[in-house]
Order: sequence, then C-alpha cells, then structure tokens
Amino acid sequence: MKKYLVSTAVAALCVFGSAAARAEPLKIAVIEAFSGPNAQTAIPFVEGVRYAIGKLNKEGGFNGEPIVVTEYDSLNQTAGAAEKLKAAIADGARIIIQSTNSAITAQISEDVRKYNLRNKGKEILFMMEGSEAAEFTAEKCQFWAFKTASNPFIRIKALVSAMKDTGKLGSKVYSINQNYSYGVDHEKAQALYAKEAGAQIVGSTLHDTAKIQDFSPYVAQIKASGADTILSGNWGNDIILFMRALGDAGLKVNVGNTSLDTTGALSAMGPSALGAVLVKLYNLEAGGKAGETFAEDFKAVIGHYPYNEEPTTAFGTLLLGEALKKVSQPGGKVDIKAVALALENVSYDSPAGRWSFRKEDHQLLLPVAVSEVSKEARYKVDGTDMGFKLLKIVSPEDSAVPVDPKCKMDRPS
Amino acid sequence: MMRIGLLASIVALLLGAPLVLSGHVVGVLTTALIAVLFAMAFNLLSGRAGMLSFGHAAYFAIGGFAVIHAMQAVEKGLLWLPTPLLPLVGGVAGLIGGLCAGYFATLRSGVYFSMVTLALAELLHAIAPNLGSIFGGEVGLTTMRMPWTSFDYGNEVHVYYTVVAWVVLCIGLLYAYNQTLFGRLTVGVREAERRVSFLGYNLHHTKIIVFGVSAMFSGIAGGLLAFTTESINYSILGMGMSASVVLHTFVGGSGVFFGPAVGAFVFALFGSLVSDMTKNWLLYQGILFVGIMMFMGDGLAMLWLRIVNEFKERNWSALKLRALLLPPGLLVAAGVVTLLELTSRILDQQYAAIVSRTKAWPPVSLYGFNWNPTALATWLVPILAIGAGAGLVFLAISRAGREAAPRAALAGEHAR
Repeated sequence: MKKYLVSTAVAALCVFGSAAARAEPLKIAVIEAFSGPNAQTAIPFVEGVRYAIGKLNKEGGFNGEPIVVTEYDSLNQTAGAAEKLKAAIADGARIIIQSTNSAITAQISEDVRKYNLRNKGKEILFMMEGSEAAEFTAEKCQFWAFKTASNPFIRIKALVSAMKDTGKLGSKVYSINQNYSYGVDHEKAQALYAKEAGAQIVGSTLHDTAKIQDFSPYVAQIKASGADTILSGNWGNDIILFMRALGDAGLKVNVGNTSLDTTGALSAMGPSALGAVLVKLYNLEAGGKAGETFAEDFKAVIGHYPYNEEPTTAFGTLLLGEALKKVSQPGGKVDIKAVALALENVSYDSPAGRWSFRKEDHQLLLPVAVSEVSKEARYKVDGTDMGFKLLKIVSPEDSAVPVDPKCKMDRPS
Repeated sequence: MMRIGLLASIVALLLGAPLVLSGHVVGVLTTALIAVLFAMAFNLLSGRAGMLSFGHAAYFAIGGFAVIHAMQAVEKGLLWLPTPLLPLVGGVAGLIGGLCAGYFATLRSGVYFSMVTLALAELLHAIAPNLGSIFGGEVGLTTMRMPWTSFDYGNEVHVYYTVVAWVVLCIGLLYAYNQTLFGRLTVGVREAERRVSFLGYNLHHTKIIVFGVSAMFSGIAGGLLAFTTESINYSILGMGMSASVVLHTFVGGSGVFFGPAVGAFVFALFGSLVSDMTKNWLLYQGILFVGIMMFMGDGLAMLWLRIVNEFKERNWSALKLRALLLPPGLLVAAGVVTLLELTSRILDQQYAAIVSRTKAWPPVSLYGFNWNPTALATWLVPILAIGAGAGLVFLAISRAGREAAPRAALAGEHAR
C-alpha cells in the first residue's frame, strides 16, 4: 500500500513537473503508402526521413523537446490521404511530409492550402519530398508547400550539360518518353536543352506507360533515324525493357535517363546498361570524405548504405531542420509561419553541395549528380559488378531553371 | 414495422453522429457512405438484374470528373448551380456514359458481358492519362466548394450532411425503383431472360435502361467523392475501384436490398480505421473476405437476417450454437492476429537494422506487452490459442450435430 502511495506521488510529480517545464512538442506527420504494392516505392523515402529526424533529435530537437514523428498510411488513394491528413491535424501535426505519388501530393497540397486559409494562426507546413511533377512549382505553387525534389526540366538540363561536358552527347538526339504529363514534360525539356547544347532532335516518341512488353519496334525506329544519343524519362519496366531491347539490337548509342537506379533495374538490364548515363539528385561517391561520413553514419543508424531516394529525403528533411534550428527557442511555441519564412532563407550543406529554397516558387535549388553505369563504381548495386560512377556534379546555379510564370504565390501578410 | 424503426434509427444515428464524433471520424464516415451508395448502385445491375460488371469504376469516375468540371465552372462564374446540387451533374454524366456503354455491353450476357464492361473501363483508363485537359494529368484536377446560404462548406460537417442527404435520397429512389413494374422486370432479366422477351418486352432496351440507371447512381456517388475531396485524378479509373465495389457487394450479400450497403460500410470503415493500427490491414481484409465467402457465402446481411429469424422462431438451439462458437472464434482470430503481427514486426526493415547492429533480438512491443522473439512462450501462446479455439469450435459443432441428428430423424418419421 505504502509503495503504491509513493509511486503515485512520484508519478503525479512527474506529470505536473513535465507539464510545467515542457513546451508543446513539434509534431510531424509522414503520410505515405505503407501498405499495398506501392509500399516498396515509399519505404526509401520514409527511411530517409527517419534518419534525418533521428539526427535532428540527437542535436536537441525543437524548442528543447524531441520532434515527434507519426506515420500515417495513405492507402495510396487521394481520398485516403485526405482522410489521414485530417487525422494527422487532429492529432496535432503541424508539418506534413509526403513523397510518392503526385496525385496524393496534389491532394495534400490543396488541402493544406485550404486548411490554412480557413484556420489562420494554426497553419500547417507541407514538405513534398519526392513528387517530380513540374506543376507543384508552377500553377499549383503555394506559400505553405516546399518542394525538395527536382522536376523534369532541372534533371534534363543537368543531364544534357554533363553529357556535353564529358563528350557523351552526340549531335543527333532521339527522345523517347511515356505518354502522360510527366513524360510530356520530359519531351519538352529534352527538346529545349538538347537544342541549347547544339544538338539536333531527330525524332521523338511518346508511348503508353507501363504497357509495352517489346521495345524492339521503337529501337528499330531509333536506328532508322540515325540518332547517336537517346534521352528518356522512362521509369520502371519501361526503361528496363527498353535498355534490353537496345542491347539485343546491338545499337551503340549514348543513353541518358532518370531512373536507372530503381531497385533491381541494373540486374534486370545486365551489361546492356553499361555506359548509360543517370541523372539523380545525389550519388554516394560525391563529396569525398563528407560523403563517406554520411554513408557510414546512415548505415550505422538504418542498417544499410543509403540507396535510391534515401539521401534525397534525408537532406530535404535536414534542410527543414536548419529552419527549425533557426526559430527554435527552449520552451517556445510552435510558430509555423516563422518556420516557413525561415525555410526560405536557410541552406543545408550536403556532401555534394548547398541545398536551399528559391523564395519565388519554393523550388529546391540543389546540386545534381550525373553518373555513368560502370564496373568501376565504388558502390556496386543489385548484387551485380556494376554501379553508378560519378561523372559530374552540376552546381545549383547551373541546374536551376527559371521560375515558371504560372506560379502566383499568395504570401501571408 | 420493425424494419422501418430500424431504418429510422440508422438515419437518426447518421444525423446525430457529428455531434459526438471528431472531425476526422466524420470524414471517414463520409467516404464510407459514398462507398455505400456506389455498392447499392452497383448491386442494381449485378444483384437485381444479374449482370456482373467488372468496370463500374468508369461510371463512378465519369460522375466525379463531371462534378469537378462543374465546380470549376461555378468557381469561375461560368455556371450557376447551388453547391449541394452539384452531385446531380455526376448523375447526369453517369447516366449518359452508362447508356452509351450499356448499349454495347448488354449486347452480350454472362461472362461476355463482364468482359465487355471490363474492356470499356480499361479503355477509358488507358486514354485518360493522354487527355490532360479533361482528366488533369498525373496531379489531377482540384477546385474549391463555394459557400451556399448559411453553409460555408469549409467544415467537414457541412459536407457530411450533404452526403447523408444524397445517399439517403438515392437509396430511397433505388428502393422505390425496385417496387415499380420496371423494377420487377429487372429481376425478370436475371431470372428468365428469354421469358422477358417472350412477354413482349424489348430485352436489349430493358438492359440498357437498367445499366444506365445503375451508372447514374454510381455517377452520383463519384460526384459526391469529388465534392468531398475537392479533387479527382485518373487513378480512380483503375481496376482497384471496380474490384472493391464487387468485393463490398459480395461481402454484404447481393441477395438482400441493404446487403451491399452493409458490406461497403464495414469494409470502408475497416480500411480507414485498421490501417491506423497496422500496416497489414490489407492482409486482414483479404482473410476476412475469404472467411466470409467460405463460411457465409451469401454475405453479412444474410447472416443478420438469419439471426433475426432465429429469434423470431425461438430457435434457441441455433442461437446457443452461435453464442458457443463466438468465444473460441475470437480466440482463433486473436491467435492469428498475434502471430501475424509478431512476424511482421520481426521482418520489418527497422528491426532487421537493429538486429544487424546489436547482434541481438530485442523484444518487440505488441498490445502494450514486450514479446521476446527468442522465447518459446512468445510463439507457443498464440499457437495454443489457435489450437484451443479450433478444438472448441470443432467440439461445439459436432455436439450440436449429435443433438440435431435424433431430431432430424424424428422430423423424418413425421414426414413419412
């Protein structure tokens, strides 16, 4: 009985004591497809966020309190994501992080915008850490959403300039992409930047997405066009099967793509991928000593070397962390407007270079890594003897594309 | 009389729900009600008329896209339409789409009909990504609800009441439809197609109209979804949506008027609420579906009706058997869930990282307890629970069988 009394008293003291001393903790919600077939795509994004938040909490959290992260399953549906966003807000989340599936990103971004219009003073900040669609910093840009991903224009600009500098861009370019908004943007970007680099577009194709089993007719078309370089924004099976068809035809051309590093892609493409050029936001070989330290630290915490999108979301979240550090005061309140304004001015030094946001459209300005599929790569992938050897880091200044005139941002007064 | 009382209390519960529930749960209820209407509309075609459509997502989506375009027009001032009447646009679009598609699909019956509906839906699904101006491309279309009289529509409760009103109205109309002569004819199409044409009705026209009406209500449901989320995207045209409505209908029971509503409501809530608790919710949903199909193939609503009938007939032995089966059934379920949750926690990447770092298997937390994965008891407890539960179920059934056998023999004597 006595023991019971003592423990109750201690517990009560703890509760009151902590209530007095504790500030309101910052809550972050990660809304992602944790179940179903898309969970595999979502996991690397989430691991990157987990790593970064762990690091931020080790460095003192926010307002002297650890940052609380809750994960919500979007069921990979827009309606499901909208519901989970409401749940997250009801649970007190003030920052939302979401990465995969542009449709869900659009849904959350719009919902956050409307919520902030209707709930002044209780604003929510949205970090889009993976969706590549260009609309998010164009007609759909808004003050409360920050995009730590690139878009087809940034990627292709960096890809073409690096291919030109390393002698991998010929004079005749063929452009092959998937026929939906993302692929159409890629086609536009390829036409624009190939022309700027002095190359000629000799043909372009838009094909059905994820439906084509045999790319040999397309390869024959490319052969007939006399192209010496192929640019493509294809992902998933559409790049794997295309590269295999290219290898089977024995066509020796330069290839530039955005998704050669998808898990399993290199082993599926085999030697036909050798020499192909990948443009990605990061390469583990970048940054010398700092890069190695990051890779080892990540492995110590998460259990494997960072791959796929893990470094990108880790840096994106650490960039958010820089803004949090700037407004953090022990015992202070969570002021999301201050965080958002700080986020426009801070930068994070990744091993490859500086990450920061552009104030006008909240697009991330970042160094872009261009690599080559090679047997000399330091980190081999998929259990093959191949990996991605860094060719060039394109600086944030050189990879940036102009602000889209369609972006009209309503800033809070 | 009792049925009317039950329905009135359900409607009263729905109307009162926002007073006690949090905004998030009201949002979950809203999507569940939309799934209810979609399943009811689907069942008019599949259950009443016996035409199983595998592509009903198409009409749901057509309604949704029509409403989004209408909302955008209202926002720009090009169209005048009170906000609560917006789902009507979805109904009109669904009806037109349904009549056109129905003309082709109903030329065939049976499996061939199902295949045509599937093909038509896939056709739309394949074209949609290429038509950015209509379907909005990858990021879809978004808009904003306009205020209407004292409803500002910024609050989910306003949306909820609008959805409740539409769902109740549409289900009422569907019920009334079944009472009409044409409603009887619809059942005739299912029961004896040839006789319908021998009676002098044009079979093809009848089928087109049924298809159109079903698509119209699906379009209203899709319109309500677009109205609720203020956005739509072409992913809604995918097979997943068409499959889920079939699943909802069969889980609830297509033979009972309210069956699909029960199935849709239960599964929609299941998806929303269980996914907050575990990432394995899809697996449980699958197990539940298989279980329901194996042990009560005519659906949850039929189970409910049976229990009600047993009460009415004072069939105490049957009710006693159900009561006896419930605890061991729950025991088996608890054992299975525990096993699956423990396994999935151990197979998790984060856990694997900890194991590879510390070279030890730390205990995993489940139901507020710590379970040590290397201890035998951790695995023995759920396995024993499954074994004991299954044994008790077997015992109860065989005992009931033995008790029933003499009575059945007696009944046989009487019959003779």
